[in-house]
Order: sequence, then C-alpha cells, then structure tokens
Amino acid sequence: MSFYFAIIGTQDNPLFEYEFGSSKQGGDGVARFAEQARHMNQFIVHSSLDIVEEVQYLKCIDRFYNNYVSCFMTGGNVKFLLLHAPSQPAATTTTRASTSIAANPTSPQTEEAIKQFFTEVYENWVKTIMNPFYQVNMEVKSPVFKSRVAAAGKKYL
Amino acid sequence: MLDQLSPVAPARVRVVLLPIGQIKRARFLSFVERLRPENVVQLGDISPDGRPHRNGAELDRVPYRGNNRRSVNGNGPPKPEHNLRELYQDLEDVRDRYPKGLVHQLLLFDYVHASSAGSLPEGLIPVPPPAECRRTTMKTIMCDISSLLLAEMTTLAKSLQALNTIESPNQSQLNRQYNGTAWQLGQAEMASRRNSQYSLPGSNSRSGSPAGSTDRSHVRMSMPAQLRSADSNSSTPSARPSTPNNGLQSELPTTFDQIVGSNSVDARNSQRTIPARLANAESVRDTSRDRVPVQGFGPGSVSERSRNIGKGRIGIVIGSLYLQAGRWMDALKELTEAGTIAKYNLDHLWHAKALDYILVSMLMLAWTGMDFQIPQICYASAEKAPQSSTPGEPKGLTSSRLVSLQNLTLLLPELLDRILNLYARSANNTGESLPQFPYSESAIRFSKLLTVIHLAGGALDDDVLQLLVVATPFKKRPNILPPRLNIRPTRTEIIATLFRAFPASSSPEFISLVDRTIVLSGIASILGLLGYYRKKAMVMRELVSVLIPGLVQARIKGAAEMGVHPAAGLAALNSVNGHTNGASALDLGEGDVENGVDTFLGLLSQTYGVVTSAGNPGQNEAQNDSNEAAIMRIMENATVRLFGGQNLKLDVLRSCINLSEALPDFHGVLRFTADLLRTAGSGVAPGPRSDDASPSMTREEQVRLATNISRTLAAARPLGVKDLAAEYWDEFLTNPFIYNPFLRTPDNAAVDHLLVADEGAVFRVTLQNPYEFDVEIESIKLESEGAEFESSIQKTVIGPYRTQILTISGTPKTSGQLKITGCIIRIRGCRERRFPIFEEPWSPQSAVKIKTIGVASLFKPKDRPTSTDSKALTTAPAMVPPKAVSLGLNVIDRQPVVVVKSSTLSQSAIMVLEGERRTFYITLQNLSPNTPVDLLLFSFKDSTQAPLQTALSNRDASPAELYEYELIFARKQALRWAPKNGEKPYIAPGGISTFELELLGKPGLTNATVQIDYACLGVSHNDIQDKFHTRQVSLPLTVTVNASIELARMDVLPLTGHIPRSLWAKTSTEDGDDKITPEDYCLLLLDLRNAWPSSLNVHLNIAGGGSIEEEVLPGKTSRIMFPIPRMFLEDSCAAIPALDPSRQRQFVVSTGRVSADTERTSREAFWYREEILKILHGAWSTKNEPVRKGEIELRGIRLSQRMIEAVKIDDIGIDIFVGGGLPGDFEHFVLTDNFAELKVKISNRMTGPIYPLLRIQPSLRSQSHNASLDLTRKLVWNGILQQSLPPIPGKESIEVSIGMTAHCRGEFEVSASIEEARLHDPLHEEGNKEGTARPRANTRTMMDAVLGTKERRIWHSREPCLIVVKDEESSDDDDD
Repeated sequence: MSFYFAIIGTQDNPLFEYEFGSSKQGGDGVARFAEQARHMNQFIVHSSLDIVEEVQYLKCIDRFYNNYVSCFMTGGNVKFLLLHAPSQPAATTTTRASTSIAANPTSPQTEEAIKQFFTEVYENWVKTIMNPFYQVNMEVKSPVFKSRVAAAGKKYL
Repeated sequence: MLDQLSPVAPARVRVVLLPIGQIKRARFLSFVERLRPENVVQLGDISPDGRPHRNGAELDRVPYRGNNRRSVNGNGPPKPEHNLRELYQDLEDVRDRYPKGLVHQLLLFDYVHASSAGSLPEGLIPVPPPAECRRTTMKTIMCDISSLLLAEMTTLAKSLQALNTIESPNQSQLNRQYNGTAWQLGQAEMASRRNSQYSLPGSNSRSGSPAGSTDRSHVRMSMPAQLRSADSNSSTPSARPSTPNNGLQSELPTTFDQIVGSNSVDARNSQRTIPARLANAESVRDTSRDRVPVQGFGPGSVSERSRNIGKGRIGIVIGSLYLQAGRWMDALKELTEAGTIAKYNLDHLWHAKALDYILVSMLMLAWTGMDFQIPQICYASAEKAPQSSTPGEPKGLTSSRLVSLQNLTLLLPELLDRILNLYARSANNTGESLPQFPYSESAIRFSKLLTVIHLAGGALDDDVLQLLVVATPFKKRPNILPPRLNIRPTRTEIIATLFRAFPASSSPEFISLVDRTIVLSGIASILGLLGYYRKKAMVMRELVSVLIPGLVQARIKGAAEMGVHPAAGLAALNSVNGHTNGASALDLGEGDVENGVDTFLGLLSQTYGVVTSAGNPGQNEAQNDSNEAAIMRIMENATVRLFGGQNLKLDVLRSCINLSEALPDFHGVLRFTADLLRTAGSGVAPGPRSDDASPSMTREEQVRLATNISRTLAAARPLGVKDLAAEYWDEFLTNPFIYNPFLRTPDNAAVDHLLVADEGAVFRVTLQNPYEFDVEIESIKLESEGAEFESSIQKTVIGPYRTQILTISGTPKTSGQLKITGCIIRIRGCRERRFPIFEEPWSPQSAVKIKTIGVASLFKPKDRPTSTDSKALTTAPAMVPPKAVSLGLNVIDRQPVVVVKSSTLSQSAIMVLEGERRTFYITLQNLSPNTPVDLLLFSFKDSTQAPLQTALSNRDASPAELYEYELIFARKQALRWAPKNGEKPYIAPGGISTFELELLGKPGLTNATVQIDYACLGVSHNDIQDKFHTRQVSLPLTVTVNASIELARMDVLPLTGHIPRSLWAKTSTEDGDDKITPEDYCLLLLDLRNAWPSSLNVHLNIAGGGSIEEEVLPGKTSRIMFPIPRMFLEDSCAAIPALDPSRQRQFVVSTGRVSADTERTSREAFWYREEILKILHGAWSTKNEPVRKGEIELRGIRLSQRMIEAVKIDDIGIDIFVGGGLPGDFEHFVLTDNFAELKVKISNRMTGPIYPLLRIQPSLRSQSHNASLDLTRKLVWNGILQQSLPPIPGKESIEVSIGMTAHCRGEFEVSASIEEARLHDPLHEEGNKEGTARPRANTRTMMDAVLGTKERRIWHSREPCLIVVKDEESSDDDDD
C-alpha cells in the first residue's frame, strides 16, 4: 500500500508532505503511486478537507476511486491527512477477510495502525511547532520531523 | 431552462424549440422568452374533466444553426410574406426528421391571421405581436398544444397496452452506431436520440405498428434521453448534417428492426452509454438478435415469469405516461402495481425504475397539496414479508398529507439507497445491467433531493417542494458554513450517495465524453449546494480535464472538414462563424464564453486560492485602479497567496489555460496566464537587501507563459478580436518611484518641489520586474491630480529580474498644486492601467491569529453581504498594507528665463586700486516670449566675505574688532547695484535691459559673483501674498586689487606753548583771527605711502578745518601734519555697539579676561578714534591718464594711551588765574608785596554733579622738587589751599578765590587738582527721594560692571599757572 501524508494548515495550505509505502508484510516502504495518481494525490486530499471540517474524527473519512483518506485534526485546527491507496484495487466485499494493512484500507487493523501513526506524528508535531521561530501556518521543513514521520510510518504502516 | 437533473424531471414534458427560416438569434431568443413564463400548464385548463392536475412542460431551445430546417413546436419567422405553404413544408420536414416527437407545432410569431384568408394549414398556430396579445393569449396557445399532447399520449398508452413486454435497454444497438471517437459517438447519440424522441405522431410510424408507438412511449418515459438531447442540442449542434450519421438517423425510424431495437423505456439510456461491464458479451449481439425476444414473443413460448415481467414492465411504462400527463394519482397506483410485479419477479431494473417514479409521483402530489399514501412497496421491511398484500394497497399508513411527508422524509435516505442498489444489482441479470450514465443521473437526482432536504433543515416542506418542482429558490439562503452534523440526512451521507454517480473509470469507452460532462457538472452543482467547495473544485477540475481533449479533437475535426490545418483553421472557423455547419461545432455564443466559461473557471480557481486580479471571478466591470483599490487588491492577493497549496494552484491554472486554448477563448487564455504569473509571483516589493522576489516557477515556464501571451495576441489579432487584454500580474510594477527634477539627489525629496508652468521637468520612475522574462512596456506616462499636467509617453523593455530606472519628462500646463499619483502603463498584451507609487519595500506578513478556517475565508465576503459590523471586525487586516505615496509638487506661474547677455568687462575681469570705485554694466536678456520680468534682486558674493565671516564668528574677537569687521562687511561691500533714480527693474518679454554695478577695491578681493534673482510676479510688490519664487542667474567676476595710498603710521601730539604760524595756516583757510590754542588743538601726524607705481595726489579733508593737498611720489612716504581740535566725549567708556542687530547680545562677558583698566582704555581708544575718523576724510587721485581716484582707508589708525591724552579734554576743567587776568593767559604779572587774588575756576563738563575737593599747589618755578615747595617767606596766602567745595552740578562751573601775596620777585607756578570728595550715586539719591522705589538693574549698569567699581577720581590742571612777580618800580622800594 502506498501512503501520502500531508499536514494541512488552517488556510488549506500544506505544511508538510510525505510519501511512503507500507513496511508491513514485506513492503519496502517505497510509495508506488502511478504517475498520474501521484499527481492527483494533492487534489484528493484537498477535496477531503470539506468533510474534515465537519467530522471531528477521523478514521477513513473519504475515498476517491481507490484512494482512501484518513484524517486527524489537532486542537489548532491543523489537519493530518493520510491518503492510502491499496496496491491492488480493494476488490469489493470478497476480500474483506483480508486483514492486512496493505490490502484492506478499511479493516479495523488498518484503522488502528493509522490511529497509532497519527498519534505519534501528533506528538512530534507538537514538539516541532513549539519551536519559537515557528509561526502559525508556516511550512514545516524540519528534516528531523520528516525522519520521525518516516519512522512512525515504518513502525505502524 | 429548468434543471435537467431535477429530482422530478421524469414528470416533465420536454419541448424543443427550433427556429424555422431565416431568423436572427436575438429575435429567436425573444420569442423563447415569451413562451417561457407559460411553462406550467394547468391540466384543468385543458381537459374537459377538469382535474386539478398540472403539467410541467419544459421549454428547451435549440440554437440557431445553418439555414434550412429546424423546428419542433417551432417558431415561425415573422415575415408575413413568407409563404404559408412553405412553412408547412418545413414543418413536415421537421416531422420527418424527428419522428418520435409526439406533437409538432409551428408557431408563427408576430403574425395575425386574417380569418378571411382561410384556415391555416394543420400544425400552424399564429401568435400575434405582443401589443395585440391579451394576457391569456400565450397561455391559451400552450393549453391548446398541451391538449394535443394529451390526446397523443392517450393513443400511445393504448397501443402500449397491446404489447406483451418491453425489452430492457442494452448497449448492443448502440455499438453498431458508435464507431469512431468519443466525440463522434456523442454526435451519433444525439442524432439517434432525436430520432427516437421526435417520431412523427400522427403519420407513418405511429399509425401502423404498435412497436412504433412503443417507441414513442419510451421517449417520454426515459428522462435521461430527453435531457441528453436538449443538452447536446444546445451545446453541440454541430456537424450532424455533414456527417454520415445523418444517414443513420434517417434510417432509424423507418426500419422496423431499429425501432424495435430502440424500443424499450431505457433504450435511450443504453444508446447513450458506451459498453458497460457486460459489454463484451453484448457487443456481439446484433440488432436482429435483439429483435428476437420481441418477435418471438408468443403465447406458450414463454414462461409465466416472463409474461409477468412483461406485464409489469408495460405497467410501469403506462405509469410513467400518467406521470407525465399529470395524472399522478393514477400513476402512483399503476406504478405500485407494476412495481410489485417486477419486484417479485426479481426484475431489479424495472423494480428500481418503478420505485423511482413512485417517489416522483408522491413528490408531485405533495407539491399540489394533495393527500397521498406511501405505498407498501417503498418499505424495505415489508419487502421481506411474504406475499403480504396486493400491490398499491395502502397498509397501516395515515392519510394525512403532513404525516405522509414526514414519513417520506424519514424513508427517503433508505429508499434512495435501495433504488440505487437495485440498479446496481440489475447487473446480475444478463443483459439487464443499467449503463453508467442513467445510473449516475439517478444518483445525482437523488442526491439533489437529499441535498434540498438537508438545506431545508431536514424537513420536506412546501418550500422544498416548490424548489424541487418549479425551481423557486429558498427565501433565505441557507447558512452552510457551520457544521450541520445533526441534520438528517447528513452531508456525509449525501456525499456518499452522490459519489456513486462519479464515473468509475476515466476511460472514454466507458462513458461518453458528453455524458461524463453532464454527470460531472451535476455532481459539482450539488457539492456547491452543500458547501463542499473543495470537493466541487476537484470535480470541476476533473470536468475541465475531460473537456480539453474533447474540444481539441472537435477543433481538429472541424478544421479538417473545412479543409484547413487545425492550427490555422482557428481563424477561418471563427471568421465564417455562423455560415458553416462544420464551424458551428465550436460556436459558443459570445454570451456563453463570457458568462459561462469565465465564471466557471474563475470559481474553480478561486477555490484553490489562485491569486487573481479580479475580485470576483468572471466579472467584466471596469477595473478600479485607484490607490485604495490597488492596495485592497494587494492585501487580498497576499491573503490568498498564503492560502492553499502552491502546486494545486499552478496545476489548476494550467488546466484553465489549456481549456481556454482548446475553446478557444482568448480572453481566458490571457486572463489565466496572467493569473498564473501572478500566483507564481511573490507579490512583494523587494527592498534593496531583503526578500527574494523571484516567482516560484521555473524560468522556462515563465518565458513560455510570456510568449504564450504574445502568441495569443498575435493569433487573436487577425480574427478581429477586440479589447483583448490581460491584467498585469505585478501590482508593484512601479516601485519605488522617486521624483527627481533636474536630477538632483533624492535627499532633496523632502523639500517642497517646485515646477514652473509650461516648462518641462524630468521624472525618474523605477520599475521592477521580478520575472525571468522581458516585460515590454508599450507606453508609460505619469498620472497626476490637480493642476493640468502633460506627460510624455515612453516605451521601454524591462529586462528579466531587475529594477529599471526610466526617465519621463512632463510639463505642467497651469499653476497650482500638482500631485503625481502614479503611472499609467500599458504593457504589451495587457490592459492599460494605473499603477500607484510604492516607495517602501513591502512583503506580506502572515497573520498571527487564526480568524477563519479553510475555504470559509475565501467565500465569506460573498456569503455575508450585509453584516458590516462584524465584517469590520473580522477583516481588520492583520498585516500592514503597503503605502501608496504621491508626489506633491507646487507648480507656479510661468516664469521668465533670463540670461546675462553681455557685460562691459572684458572676460569678466577687472582691476581696481584699493579704495577705488569702478562702475560697470551688465546686460540681461529675457528669453521668454511672453513673460516679463518684474522683479529683480541683486545680490553679491565676493572673496572677502568668507574671511570676514570667519573673523566675525571668532569668539575671541574684542568688541572693537567685531565692530570693525561688521563695518567693513555692511558698509563697504565690494559690489553694489546703483539703481538710477526711479529705475524699476523690468525686462519685457524677449527684451534686454542694462544695469549699472559698482565695484569697490578692497584688500583681499580676488573674485566676486553677481547673483540676480528674478521672477514674474504679475502684481505689484506690495500685493504679494505669502511667498513667491525666483530664479537666479549669476555672473562670476575676477577682480585684481592693487595697493594705492597706504597709511603707514600716525601719531597725535599735544600742543604746548606757542604754536608756529605755519601750523595755523594749515588748519584753516580762514583768517588768522581764530587763533588756535594749545588748549583746543592737538597735532595729528600721518605718514602716507604711495604703493602705486605712479605718483598720486592725496587730498585730506578735516571737518571744519580746511583741507590739505599733497603729492606723493611712487614708493615714497610723505608725512602730513596738521592740527585738529581736541575733543570732549561725555561718555568715553560707553560700550562698543554692534552694528548687526542680530549680533546684539544682552550680556557681554569679556572673554579676554582683561582688567577693568584695559577695558576702559580700549573703549576710550575706540570712541576717540571714531571721533577722529568722523572729522577726517582722505582721497587720492592719479595725476595722469587713466584717471583713477579713490579713498584712502584711514581706519587703520590706532590710538595709544598717550595719543588719547593728547586729544582728549578732561571732564573737569581747572583754570587758574590771578584776579584781573584772563583764564587763558599764559602768564600773570604780580607785584611783590601787593595783594593779589588767585582765582580757580572749576568747570564741570559732565552731566552729573560732582563733589569736589580742591587742592591748590603753589610752587617755585624751575627749582628742584624739594626746593620748589619751600615757599616760606616767599609767598603767603590768605585762606586754606585745600578746601572742600560745594557740589557743582553738571555743565556748570564755580570760581574759588584766595588771597595771595608774594614777598619776593621771581616766577611761581600754581597748579591745582580736584579730587572727588565722594562718589555721586544717582540711584542712591533717587532711592532716597522716592523711598520705596526698588533699585533696578538696568542693562547699562550691568555692562559697566566690566569696568569695575566706580572709584573717586582726581583731575589735575593741565598746565600750571605761571605767576611772574616783579618789584614795583619805585614805590615798591619806598614802601619797603
């Protein structure tokens, strides 16, 4: 499964973006979006904001074709959006039995993993924005934060 | 046009309006407008049974195209001369063309049919002009048409009932038709649909075969098809006539096979779709196989189930006819029955369709305010119950309408979901699968229904029904900003339903391009209603990306038909617009382009936070270029620039550009290219060191965009597209803007700038270009307020990424205040607009506090137009706006220009001797043709001024020195203007005038400047208000000053004893009577040296005392001696005055720390010198040519203490004489042993009284000091020699006498001295008199303090009195 993770500020502005792939089930942690799909990721995530502002949590809030969007909202109204696209199209109900994160984006296991991922990112996020030089809605370019997000993705997803 | 995707669309009757004959588009539209208000026809008005049903008839128009046939229910031409027969023929053509239409009518507008002319042919209805219309005329016409329609429907229904079954729609027959590209598919579809819809009712197809009538019925039943046709008609009326599809459409109605093939209700749906999931299996089937079930339908050959299915299907079709005819009760009943049959036979597709129609029927019933019951079939729970009741029978339902509505509201989400699921499940039955498009359409319709309920707060009330059926908008726009979590159905649920409509695949084979467009736009509109702007934006972007390839292909195709290359064809297509069918494919009306596409794309880009120049997307109003507007725009841009993701913005804009190019919409291309540049730009005014202003875009792309603009312009020009201009993308184009007349340094900017009317000035404009390509400025000029101003127009090119300075000249035309407020600049390809001046660097700061979240900040102002208070609060800008400055200039009246034409000096050089005065002339010329000079002020500068100023500012200089400097500075200017009497400085326009100047030779003078300030005041000098302005012209001079007569030395000597007669002669020309005495005169001695190499005559003048002439040879010194009167000064110790009032200081502290004595002495020296200089005047002149004359500078004399004593007369005069003699006598003769009276006259020359103490000192003459005082037996006196005298008032004298007798012969001397007994203190005395008067410290006494305290003074007699004692000749001896 490929992931596209974005943190969106209050002005719909992306504060942080990161792409990665699943590390579970032998995944190598590399995102495998089709070239056209990758281009659409930002658009999909952006369009999901409409729903995010209404729903507080979070789980899988939106889907577009085969892309699922999970969200986490911080107290400062900053949204964490995680777009995940299963490697193979989730072939309707028949494969529901599969609980692997990579295959089934809506399974409870996946939800739980994403939740843990978000929680960890949130902790790092709070630490990052406590930087006195950080202003609201400023893009986060910290490599440390990026590596922590990568680590969290590797750990849970 | 009524909403095609309305939830109640199946209940509407479709009408297509076509123009017949030659008619202008605008005229045709006006007729359509006349018909439009009558789009609801009361069933009661037409049908004899008077049931209160209504019939919603939708007016659709088909745009004007081509020149031959078009009309279904068409509009006739207004020409009365047009042959009616011809019109009828046209109508027949239309009937042939659209055989599936139930009714065809031709409306003859603005035509009054004379009854005498016989009846009109069948199908023609005259419509009188508006003036002759009654209010009900149009309505009556519509009712007549409706009545025809109902009749046709009845026939149709009857024929339907004769059928056994109806085939479900599938794609097979379409596959046959759909060859080629998606675009062609769209064309073909449309064509075929039209065929099916508008089959001729009365004639061929209907009459004969039941299949034909079935066909017609399907037309009515399937909503989507009609929608499609209407839509495609309006948007793509294109290439049909010329394509092979023509043949197809004409075939369709005539061939039985094909009629059958397109028979069924949903046949049209299937036509529209492209092979669906089951396409592979079905595509092999051909028309003949399709026909098999129909043809082979016979008793005994099919199962019971099949029969039942057929029965149910026919019932549903009949029900839909009821629905359209407005008989909703009947429809409900029919559909419930038929739906139940379908349900139990697992005919999912038809089951769902029945439910759909039932729902529509209920809504229509509710809308008319009638009671209705929700059929059992609608409930999922009942569905599971085994064989409960006969279909359509109401079960446990209340009959109250309100309750029904409430129940329906609760039921709706589940019901709609179930219908969609049933549609989806129909795929399980082979050949029954619902194609994507009708499925999407249903999903959109259901979503819309849910959305409207959601917006109404979750209730299905009358407002909602009004909105659904007749599109009456809500009275109050629902506020969708806050979360609406507790309103059922929730938005999330609606979205879930809605996105089932989203085409599952993007491949063009799956769903045709046109269908996809409709679906996407439908989804977008619902998302917009829900306030999901970002989702809507994504769908719209998807829509754009779908449109682009379609449009490009259409363009290529259209061009190919015209036989031109696609790129080149653009021009040709547009130029022949309206005359070629092929071209009409691209013929979006002007209105469509500007109102539709622009707004559409603008809205799309707005959602992503694209930085755009226009406040509202698609606005066409004139741009406001005022400072406020520009700043507002900058602020808005800055806010928007911070919003959203840059990648998204750029991507969306690129899509917009591509779409505009595909259309082609030149305005759009320019606008979005400019917006893209603007978005990519940083929107800052960079300072010298700060801020990276480069845009976030690669250099290549920037250059490409720039060329895109010029390319677009080049392409548009030959097409005759006017008013094509982009909005320039950098608000800070002119920054900073420094005015700099005459190229002075900028720090003079604070000074009030002056310009002269009618004279040019040069301005400096700094332009910035943060982009990586050249910006070509076609014209730039200054904009001004106030006085009339004319700016020159420049053009230039600003290179990539730089600021560039440009000079612009301008000329003020009238006097007054002038403000340069900005520049009006036209950049190549852009609108000419005004740019304010921004001097300060500026960059936006991000807001510290979060006021809004998400897109609310973008859409807020529009959503709350009225609440001004809160707006003021919330939109208080968190950032400091850039300051637009203006340049204030003062323009004064026309002023002359004057030059120095000539002067009498050769090479502006002059030589003078010291003290010599020379005059010279300068000639000024007024160059202005019409402005006189009426004010001329001369001022001068010379090389002696600077050292004098330095000396004056020296703090150590004594007052006497300062006085001297000031005197030279003020009274002895090196240059002055000597106006002749009554001369008024005036130079006529173009005239010349000569002025006389005088030069005085002074030591140290080497050069000088004549400065002439001139102006034209226009009024007399006394009338001048506040200030006026002058110009200056100056003439530098070089001066050589040579020495002439110098004062080498001087001395003053007292005169004593006898004065030689020769001296007297010098004093005066008068007779010698006026003897000079040593008392009154002293001798002045001057050494004068001639430093000039030729002899000079010296002439000295003594006031009141004659004059002296003397010739001094070159290089020689000659001494001149002459007596001058001694002088008395009342107050020789007065302070030395300052000539310059500004230097008058109140407290002068002698900084030299001189003693009081020295101070007193220097003051005495000053005052006596002044006195001497007053009476003395010297001049010199040459004896030979050239004649020169001048004055001798005598101010060089310095008086020593001894000289002062010689020249000064004491305050107290003491004269001693012997009685009988005179005070002035040199010697007095006294006889021995005789009584004599010695008198002392004391005169007080001062103004104040004195308290004298007199001491008389007789002594022997010519003896040593000791011996001289031994007067014993030589001289006796009667009285005391030392006595105190009564006070002598000022200016008075007293005489004191004392008796004296000499006892021996000889010479005696008597001297006397006066000593002040006590000090006279005027203040003290005054105080005694006044008593209470407070002693005042006046300045004078303060200044005298420097002289020390007053002490008692002593005066001595100047010369002793000589007394010569002789014996009496005879008697004396006898007496002894």
